[in-house]
Amino acid sequence: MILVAKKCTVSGESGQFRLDRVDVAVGQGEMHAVIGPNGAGKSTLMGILSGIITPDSGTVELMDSPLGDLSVRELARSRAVLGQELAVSFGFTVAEVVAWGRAPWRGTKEASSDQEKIELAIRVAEIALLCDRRINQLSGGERKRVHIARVIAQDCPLMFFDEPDSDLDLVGTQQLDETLRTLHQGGRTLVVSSHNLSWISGLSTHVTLMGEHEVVAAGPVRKVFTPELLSQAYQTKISVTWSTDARGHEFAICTSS
Amino acid sequence: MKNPGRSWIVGIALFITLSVLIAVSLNFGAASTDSVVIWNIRLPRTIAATLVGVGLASAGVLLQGSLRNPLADPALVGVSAGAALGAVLGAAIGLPFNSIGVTSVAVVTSSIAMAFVLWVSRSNGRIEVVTVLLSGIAVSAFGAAAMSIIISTSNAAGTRSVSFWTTGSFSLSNWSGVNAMWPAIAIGMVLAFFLAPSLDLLALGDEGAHASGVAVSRVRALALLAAVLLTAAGVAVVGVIAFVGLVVPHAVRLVIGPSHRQLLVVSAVGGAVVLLLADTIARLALSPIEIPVGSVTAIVGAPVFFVMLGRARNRQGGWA
Repeated sequence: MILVAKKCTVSGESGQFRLDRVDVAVGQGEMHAVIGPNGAGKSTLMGILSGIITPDSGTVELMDSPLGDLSVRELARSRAVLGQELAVSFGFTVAEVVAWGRAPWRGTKEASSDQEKIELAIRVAEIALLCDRRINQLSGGERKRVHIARVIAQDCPLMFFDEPDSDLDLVGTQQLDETLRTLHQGGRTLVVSSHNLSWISGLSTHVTLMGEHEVVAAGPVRKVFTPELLSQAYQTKISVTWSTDARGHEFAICTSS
Repeated sequence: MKNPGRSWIVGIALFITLSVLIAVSLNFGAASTDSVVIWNIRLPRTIAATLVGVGLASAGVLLQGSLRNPLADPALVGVSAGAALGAVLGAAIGLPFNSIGVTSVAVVTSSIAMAFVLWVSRSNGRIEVVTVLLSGIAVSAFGAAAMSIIISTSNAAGTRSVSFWTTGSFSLSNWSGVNAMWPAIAIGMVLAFFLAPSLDLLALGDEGAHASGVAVSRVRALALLAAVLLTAAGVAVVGVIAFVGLVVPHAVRLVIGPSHRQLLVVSAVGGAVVLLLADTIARLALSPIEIPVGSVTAIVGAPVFFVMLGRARNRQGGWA
């Protein structure tokens, strides 16, 4: 396990918990999905796993050492994060924003490959035509791809994607799917949250299923995508049918009734 | 990053303009042009205008970048009023004007004003764009009121009236004034130069910047400290001059883009140009009567602020 959270609690306003004694483990090379209903605490969980939120109690360890022991910069060389905020202040260009992905490596010997990594990220995220535009003039889907390129350029072994498909249409999601698979095949560990159960079930190898502020189930996709567990987490009756897409990826069709 | 060539051209053009303005500023004025006048009166005044321009424009860059607020200006967020009050307080406890002592007191009170405005404007971990300006108004009003009470109840202020402090003037900028301001401005500029790349990443928002390796709280605190040093040093000697910190970075961003290191350097030169020009106009337009230099900058700056305010409001869908 490269990333382990134990008994993590995050309290919100007025004494309620956003996360209540949550345990999560992510193994090396997993494509790890985080799913659950609105308000279950997926983003908060992504926040503590990526070190952006410090839990009020509990521990998060990356490669057996506490996340809190790493400096902000060391952390940024260990993991990259695609958040949900897409707005960028002032009129920065796409090329400038993608180059920020290399900021954590300034002054290290890795910096010598900055240009190469930026070009690769632009190619993988398919944004070459957008480079000279200002990011705030782009559509939501285009902006998302620019931020994905920035996160790829950061080139970390562990990557977090918080609802990466939320601003994308069908074709955009297909592109995203390919991008994430490419990153995964490159040996990286990915943690991806989403509301699109069919898509994420076809993409991921492992799943953490959140209910109200706690983990309902965790494990390989087939073990978690069951009617019982999903129904329990979403508090409604859900049926699951497995199917295979055109490229041979098995995915779950989940319907509530 | 964007158009480094254009940044150089703009920077050099501004630098040439600055040199011409310095020459004009030194050679024209009400009094005769003997070397004593130039050396003892016009040269320190010209240097002071240059330094204050550098300080205010750079402070604007730092405030706007660190607060992600294109409407921030040292005078509009209350930092300048805090500094002016500090300078008057310093004089009231017996420190001479145009001294490092008065500058130090101004830095302290200006920091307090900045901290107060931020504390009031924080909401859910964000610093609200408009609340910063509204709190700035309140802090400025408080500063001006406290200042006029001190000035009217003691003779510490000497020839410096309330209006000297609220609209600014280079008329009392002598060599000791220059010496009282340059160290803080130099420290502020060095800090700003090293913080500039991190300010770029702050444009991603606090979480995005943190995820990209920026120690957000530390960078923001240092940027605001630099903005305070750059503002307070000038204000302690020449009073409050508004809108330079707002308009100059905005105009420069339109020409060379928002990347902070270039923005900082070009805005610094641009600020010097603008204030030298404003002071030359203030001295010569209605000669021998001198107009307050802050009035010159406000006449141009206030309309620009209105346009920007309208744009920011449209972008955010109105402020109910």
